[in-house]
Amino acid sequence: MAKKTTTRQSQAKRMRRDDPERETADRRATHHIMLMAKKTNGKKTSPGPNARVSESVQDAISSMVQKSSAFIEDQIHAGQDAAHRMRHGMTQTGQLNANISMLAESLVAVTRDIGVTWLELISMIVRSVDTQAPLPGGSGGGGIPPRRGATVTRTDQSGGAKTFSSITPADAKIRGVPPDIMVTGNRAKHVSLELRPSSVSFVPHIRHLVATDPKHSLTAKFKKSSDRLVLVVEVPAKQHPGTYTGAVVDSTTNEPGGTISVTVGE
Amino acid sequence: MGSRKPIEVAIIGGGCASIAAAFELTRPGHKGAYHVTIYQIGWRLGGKGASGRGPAGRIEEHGLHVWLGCYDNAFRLLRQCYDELNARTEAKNQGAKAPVKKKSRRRNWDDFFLPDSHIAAAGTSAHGGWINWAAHFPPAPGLPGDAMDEQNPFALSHYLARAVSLLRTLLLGLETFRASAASNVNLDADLDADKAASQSDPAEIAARIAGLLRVGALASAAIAVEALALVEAALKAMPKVPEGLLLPVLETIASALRKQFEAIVANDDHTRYQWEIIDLILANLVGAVRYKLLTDPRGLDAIDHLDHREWLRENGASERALNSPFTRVLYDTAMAYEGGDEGRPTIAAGAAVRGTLRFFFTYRGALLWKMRAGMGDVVFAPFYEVLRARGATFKFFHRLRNVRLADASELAPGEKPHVEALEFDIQAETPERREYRPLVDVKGMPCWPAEPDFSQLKGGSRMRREGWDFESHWDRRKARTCELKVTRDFDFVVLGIGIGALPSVCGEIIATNSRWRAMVERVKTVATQAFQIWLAADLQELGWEMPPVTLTSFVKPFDTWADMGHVVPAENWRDPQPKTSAYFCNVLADPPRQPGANDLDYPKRRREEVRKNAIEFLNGDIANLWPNARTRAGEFRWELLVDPDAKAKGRKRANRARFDTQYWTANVNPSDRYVLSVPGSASHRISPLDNTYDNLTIAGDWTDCSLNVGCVEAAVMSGRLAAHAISNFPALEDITGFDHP
Repeated sequence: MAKKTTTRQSQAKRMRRDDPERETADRRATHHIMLMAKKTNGKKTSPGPNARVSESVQDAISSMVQKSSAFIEDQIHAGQDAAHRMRHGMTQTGQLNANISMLAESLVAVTRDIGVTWLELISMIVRSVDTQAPLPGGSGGGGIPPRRGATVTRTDQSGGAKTFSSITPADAKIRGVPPDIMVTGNRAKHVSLELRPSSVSFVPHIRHLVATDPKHSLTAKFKKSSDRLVLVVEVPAKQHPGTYTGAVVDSTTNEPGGTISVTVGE
Repeated sequence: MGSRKPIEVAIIGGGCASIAAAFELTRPGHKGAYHVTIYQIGWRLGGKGASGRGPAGRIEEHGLHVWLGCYDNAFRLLRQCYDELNARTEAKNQGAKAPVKKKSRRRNWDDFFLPDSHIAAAGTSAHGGWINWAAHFPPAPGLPGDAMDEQNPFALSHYLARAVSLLRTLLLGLETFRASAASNVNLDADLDADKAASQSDPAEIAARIAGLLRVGALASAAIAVEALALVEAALKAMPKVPEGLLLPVLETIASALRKQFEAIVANDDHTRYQWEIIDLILANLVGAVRYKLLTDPRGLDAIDHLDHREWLRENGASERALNSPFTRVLYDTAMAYEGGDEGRPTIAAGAAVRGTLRFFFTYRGALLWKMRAGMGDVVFAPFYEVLRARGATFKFFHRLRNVRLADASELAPGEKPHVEALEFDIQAETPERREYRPLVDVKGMPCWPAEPDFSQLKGGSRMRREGWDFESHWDRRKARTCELKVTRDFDFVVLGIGIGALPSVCGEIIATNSRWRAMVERVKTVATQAFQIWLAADLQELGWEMPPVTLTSFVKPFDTWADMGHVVPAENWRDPQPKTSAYFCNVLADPPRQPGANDLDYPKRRREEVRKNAIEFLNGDIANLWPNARTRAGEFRWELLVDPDAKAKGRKRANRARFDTQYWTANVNPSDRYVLSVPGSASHRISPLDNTYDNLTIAGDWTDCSLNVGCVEAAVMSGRLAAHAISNFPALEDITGFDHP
């Protein structure tokens, strides 16, 4: 058992608590996503005060990152399914139909927003992996993610569509150049691309773009043109109208790194 | 431990919050960076959760303590405590010289908790008298304190999706609904909502719904159920829902269902109760969407300024549902009666909804976990042993008298105010300052006694003879005083006493700090009363026909009863052995005038009041639960009470005086008062993370710990936050539920 000694009195200096990072609970609706990321952290409880980020935690985070891509896709598809069911199943009730269409479209839009939030949180965690967890009794120390790069945006027009391209690097050291967007055909009305690369080796890849009705899909891919990255969106003349959304992932790690949406008019 | 001196932490109080803080700060991972000293009034740890062993080793509690299956922080720490205790025991056994006569045995946390899946509510019948409604909640995966699974349960959308799912199940189980719908709709074919919700082919779902829509007006409730399946699907898919768009859908569903059922169910008790639950769920759903709780950054705090019942009323709940046992259950279990007045029920809507959601939707294992012995024995004795083994120091019989701040005029530029000294009354001392050994052995289990071991105290015989009450706020007798000074005796302070005691010990802070002043004025507490009886008959013999339950929403003055027959084997009865025991509790109304500081007899007067209440209750209302406990003359059968000293003292007669051999308590000490969550008070709570005084943190279920309701879990969360404030550990994200909406 520790004993105090009289020498303590002469040597002691009054100790002070540092101001806390925050004082209150974060009750925001989207905050649970961050918690969810934590909970996928290897099915373990707190590693103990002196634990550092171990390989197993890294593995768990890697696994979690892998899952995150599927999470976004699932979110989008689930939202689309729900919207589809509501639109087709309930429009016949006079009492309920007023807002259903708008609701359906909103569901899709919100899934896209949630995807972006998720990506931001995941990238924070990924960036923290290489740093050390805070030591107990210390003044914080490791675990602080690097400063995120500034968001760079570009708006333009292509194939009759308004295009919006943005990039927010996870680390200020990554050069943020938003890709050009090239649209073929004249049916697209709006194309929006938001990239959040987590490393300099990030190579974007798009798997699917699907509409509220998952039967309808659209193709988009990245190409390299001289020193620039170009997003090419091909919209056939017979493309079904609607909003098509999808996740952008790193082609080598499958790590999520952005979202894309394309609105096709009549 | 290295060569550096440990940081000295003085923890005032030995309740759940203080013990949680001590447990965190002394974790082996800290490598001895912190040395904690726990200063405890009287002879036992536990605060409001303290228990003692009385005659026949019987367990005497402050009240009824049942842990909920959602107490993740509390269970996690307790499980870690038992693990460590066992590891130490095994190491000790292995190190013992052979042959070992008596080895300590392993103690597992789940040996001491009884999973209980039944809850019951008592309500009035449409045909007069009382009717008891009991429900069985099936075991949920996992055990409380397990790591959270991947599907985080704390998203409000997730909760609401589950509420919708529950609603559909209840509706489909409603006999009236089934009868009316079956005549018009083929339920098997068209109303298989679960199948529809999980159906992967949207076209097929659309076809099903279209089919239902064609059925006509009588099946409108059926359509509403199907619409709910879609709402559920939308909520599950969407962590963030456009609430303004969902509102008309939900309101229409609620309106259709209310129109359909309100009149039909009025006279059928069974259906009426089911409908009341449905009605309340509907009001909660509509309210959550109407108040934009899914997206409000304040989460459920956004409705914390409203009373829960008022909020439900505003969102369409019927008066019948608002006065149903299912609403009263919440008020009764949360002791939510201001001033202990049953005419002033009040609980903040946000805290109530948060507590309800956690209770029903995030429990693991069982909904309830009942301890198989006293809370002191099951919880505080193991923590005491582990903390002591870790090197923590316990100072019993230390009553905090004053928290003294440093002179503001002498602070250096930029220096924050801080605690300069802690002034204590030392109530009693041991000869030669030997360590006071607080535990006794009952059937091999270390337990806290119901009274101090006077034989260990200097002048103990005199103290016993004079009736010193070390736990009474009004009994200020002491052996001497002492003063602890910052840097010399402590570096940091964790103030873990009840909020009711703050005005008497933190006068300087309250006088100079408006936030503290607002907190002690606005965060209300209530006195409580409880009694326990040991019975010579089992429940069946008493006429109770349901399983052993925890029942609430019964009559005042004792609205809550729990059968505790399972703890009798842990007691030390000889002949006769009770067949069961029953615990009752409730609020206790404050007197019109507060007692004076020197009113030594005040606790005794209140105890006498509780005794009378209990006798009257047993002579009257208990017959509604136990019809066979009444004599033909209509009085309680006093011979049912088991007297622990009957043989030794030659007592045979059984009349109402037999009650005096049982146990009852009036929890009127300021620090023993139960913490309420009255509307508008949460914003006045101060967080343990607050750094206004940079060497002081607070801990208790009265602080802003996120859960903000009076319970073990909130206290443990608060204690963990206090530890974080000092050591940066545990991480806030590891305090389960801290960032709950």
